[in-house]
Amino acid sequence: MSNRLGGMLGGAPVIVLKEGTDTSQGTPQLLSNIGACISIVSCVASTLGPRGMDKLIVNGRGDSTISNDGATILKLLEIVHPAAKTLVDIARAQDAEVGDGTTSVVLLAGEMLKECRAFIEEGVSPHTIIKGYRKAAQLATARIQELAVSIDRSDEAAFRDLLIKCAGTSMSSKLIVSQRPFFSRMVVDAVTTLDPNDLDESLIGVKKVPGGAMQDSLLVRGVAFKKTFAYAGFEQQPKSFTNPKVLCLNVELELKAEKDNAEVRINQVSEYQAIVDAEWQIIYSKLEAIVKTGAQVVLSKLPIGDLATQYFADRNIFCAGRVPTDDMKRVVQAVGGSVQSTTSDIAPQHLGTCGKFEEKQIGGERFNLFEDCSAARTCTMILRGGAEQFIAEVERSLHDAIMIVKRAMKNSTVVAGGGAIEMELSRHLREHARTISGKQQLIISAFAKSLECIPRQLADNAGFDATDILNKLRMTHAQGNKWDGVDIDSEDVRDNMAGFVWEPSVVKINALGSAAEAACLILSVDETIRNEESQPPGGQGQPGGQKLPPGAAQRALKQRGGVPRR
Amino acid sequence: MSLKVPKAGMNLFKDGYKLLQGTEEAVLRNIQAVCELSDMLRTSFGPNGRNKLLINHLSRSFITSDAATILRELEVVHPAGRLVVLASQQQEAEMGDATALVITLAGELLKKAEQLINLGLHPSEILQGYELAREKALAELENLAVAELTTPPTVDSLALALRPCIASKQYGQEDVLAPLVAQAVSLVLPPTSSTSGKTLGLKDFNVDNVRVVKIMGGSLPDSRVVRGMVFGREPEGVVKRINDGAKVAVFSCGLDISQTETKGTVLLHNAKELSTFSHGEEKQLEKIIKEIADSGVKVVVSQSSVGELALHYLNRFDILCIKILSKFELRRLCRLIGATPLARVGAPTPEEAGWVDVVETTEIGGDRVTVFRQEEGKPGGKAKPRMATVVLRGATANHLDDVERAIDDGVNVIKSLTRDPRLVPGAGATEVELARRVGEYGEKTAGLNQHSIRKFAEALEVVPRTLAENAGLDATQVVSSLTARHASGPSGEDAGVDIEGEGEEGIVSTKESQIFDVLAAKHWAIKYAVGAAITVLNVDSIIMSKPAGIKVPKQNPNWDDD
Repeated sequence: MSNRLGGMLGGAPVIVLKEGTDTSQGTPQLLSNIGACISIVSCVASTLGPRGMDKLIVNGRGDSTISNDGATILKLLEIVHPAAKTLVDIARAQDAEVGDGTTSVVLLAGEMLKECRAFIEEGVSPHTIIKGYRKAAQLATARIQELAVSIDRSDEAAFRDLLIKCAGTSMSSKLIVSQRPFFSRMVVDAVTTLDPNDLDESLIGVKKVPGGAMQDSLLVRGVAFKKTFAYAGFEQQPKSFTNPKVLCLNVELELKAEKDNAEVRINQVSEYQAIVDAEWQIIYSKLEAIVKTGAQVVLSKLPIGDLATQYFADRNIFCAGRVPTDDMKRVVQAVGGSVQSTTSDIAPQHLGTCGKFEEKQIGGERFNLFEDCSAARTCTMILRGGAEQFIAEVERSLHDAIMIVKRAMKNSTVVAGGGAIEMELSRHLREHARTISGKQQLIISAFAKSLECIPRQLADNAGFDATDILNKLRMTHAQGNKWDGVDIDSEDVRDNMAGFVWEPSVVKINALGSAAEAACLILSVDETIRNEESQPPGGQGQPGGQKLPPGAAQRALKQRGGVPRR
Repeated sequence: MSLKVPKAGMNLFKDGYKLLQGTEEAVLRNIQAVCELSDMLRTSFGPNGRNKLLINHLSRSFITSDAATILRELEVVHPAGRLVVLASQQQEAEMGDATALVITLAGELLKKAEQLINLGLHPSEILQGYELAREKALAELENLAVAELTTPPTVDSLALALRPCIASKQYGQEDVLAPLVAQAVSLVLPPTSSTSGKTLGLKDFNVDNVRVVKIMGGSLPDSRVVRGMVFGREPEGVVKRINDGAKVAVFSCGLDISQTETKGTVLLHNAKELSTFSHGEEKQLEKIIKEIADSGVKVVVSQSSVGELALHYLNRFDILCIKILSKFELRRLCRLIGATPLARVGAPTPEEAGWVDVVETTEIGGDRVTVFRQEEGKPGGKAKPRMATVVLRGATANHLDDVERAIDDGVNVIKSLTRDPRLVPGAGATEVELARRVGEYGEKTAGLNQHSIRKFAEALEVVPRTLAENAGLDATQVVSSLTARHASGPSGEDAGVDIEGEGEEGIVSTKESQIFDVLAAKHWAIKYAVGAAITVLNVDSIIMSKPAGIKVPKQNPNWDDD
């Protein structure tokens, strides 16, 4: 590594770049970047597959997270190495694009870099490797498309079966594996309630209630949200309706000033009472308008005060204020109607309805449930479990499964998981490599070899002899059993297509593309130049590393009235 | 008694000034600084150039081989180095491409000048020679044009012109990107008017009309071109899609109950006023929104906040409402749909309202975006929409940024081609040919100038040499065989470096493989590079004042470390 700050000429160095700039270049730099990436990979490698282990990560504030999800782990690791950050990026991209397979994509990218490290050390131009990898990724993608099994959507039951299997495969590597049939059915039910043209997963609400066991979790075909803060009088309200009319509001039903910038000036004392009466009149007229619509359930994003609560209780109306925005959005989706920002002109079509409304005790919490909605394009999952972190991990696992089901519904082709498709691609690329001459043959073989990391890691994590399993797999694939993969249950190989270990092909296509892209990006760098970090504004040119006294930032902000008090 | 003569120069400057004088101290050191810089960038030159990983002072990382970006983030402090950087920035402003060429050529020119200085030539003599050689080179460059952009440009011809530029930034991806950019550009190119000259309308091409939206996820081949604009947010209200065309009203103000700028207070005198106060506000807002709806508007775009009450009425009248916070994006949208932004809330006149064919909310990757599209054959979409957007997909943010830069360069190439459609052979062929012709000219020149003219010719060969070096070929051999081919006659004029390295000699015919560069970009690059080199050579002393700076405050030792 050379230091570009000074070339010597007649004694004094010529300074081209700003002081404090750090540069490194050439092969050693590239190898160090690769090394950094590989060490990241080794962090997440052990989480892959059904027998993968979880990670417990404690962040700077002492919050702990237990996770098996590659993207979550990498996000929490707060990686600063510039080259290794690329891996975090691809995990995030995979998470956004398909939602699952985040560990595989990082593992693949790391393995591709590891495989070509030897070539770099021997002096092969990185461009040659990049070219070979791009070519190999293209070939592999084409092969997946060729192999993928497309599923007939005409048979509803069969299609549902397929979705359940895909969800099951995604869950098999997560904490919830013991309850796989239960949760995979739940996930598929949830996704199939969504609008098939849009599949907006944000309309699947997930509520976490600590306590109980995993299998106490339930899916509400409609909306459920935690009971909001209620004022006196709430107890007198009825808690259960059949076919109620639901009114969703964005109005504050409380006795308070209408406007901040209005001021009342009265000339005579006698008018004082009139003003007070008028204020009461305003809220009463609002309440009357609401009652007149015939609504039996009134929800509002803004607070509903005790006056209104009692008023509704007297008229057998249920009300809930301070409903969170996304819950409100789902309620509107489920029951129909629309959110009203004024009470002055509510027409019947602005009200929604559902089959059953009730308030129910779930665990230690009370929940408002809207069920049997006619046009419901939304649903809510209520998750139960022993510990806070545990439910959080269940939620992440379910999110992955939801995304997988969603992708499978959009592109209904699947491949066999459990390392089967990787082995098949590896075999295909090796065969192709034999037909070409020159350096590219080696590169494509290296790519093929790197694909084997998935079955190897699967076997490793399960405690099997990976070499043994890989040998068996290579053999069966050479014999033409294209769907053979690792059998986690019996420490052997088996036909994973028949064993119902299925994954949507788009997951694999995206993972391969992203991993190859990231590997190529890291390989294409021949020089790292790091400018000295500038002082954060307000640091007043503190010499490097010297800190302000603790609390100075807060003090400075407080003077400007910046930080809100907690 | 002898006269006291004060020693000259003793106290000419204040303390702390630095004075560097003479060939040794000033000129050669400056040359060395520029060479350092150009050496740093040489490895990033051409299709096989390697990327640099830069981390700037804000800890943002870039992975790029784009010289303009590298230089911008490098923070060069050496005064002579800065001169060259400025030259390349001029090139970026003028052409938007070939910035690396400026630096590489300037560095090489200075390296050759150093040799001449060591031989005993005075810098001013070198200057003269370089100036003569530049005039010759620019004159000869005009004769080298081999092709022109067809008029009117087709997608194919545009893609052809774009390929080398994009290949030099994103080698291996040019087959994906070049047609994409060509498609986007050809959508927004103003139609050529046949009556008034050949390429008159083309000159109105605005690079701003091609937008790039980067969305993480997927891979590059999933990228596509949208006839319109893409915004990374969802509409505010419940209406999310309009399929069959709609009038659009654009407001640069917020959509809410009007409020006074000056702090005002509403004075209420009696109970009646209080009870009708907010009711009146509702009525007024409803009236305004109703007016907008009655004028046929179905889409409302607002630059700032949309009040909840306003949104309520918009929903009620089935009007789609979206916030676009960026002033520039709003202006572009106005250009796309032909609307005038209104500064007050109210119904637009027919001239003020715009028209869009399709507004839809879709999911790309994990992001939900809103697309404003103009379809061909629909009322709003003429044959050409005014804006086109390239939606880029890719797995890493760094890569997407780099591809975006490549596209920007590509669009700039088209821009310069609309002014000067001539193309010259690429892959170093032009430089070798120029080197040959300038070299011949040097042979004929009498006097000391011939040395520097010959060196100028040698310096031009840096382009094929760097291309060959970066491609891993034997540079000396490639350059010598190229020179031989070019000397062999007019048929060899199009021989360039074969970066694929498939041929035996490493030579390829640029005409056959259709590698062309823009003549104008070369013209300006040579001009700026020589200009920068001459300026550096012209300097014979450097005077640096003491850097002004506030003394770093000492930390109070009495502060507790609690």
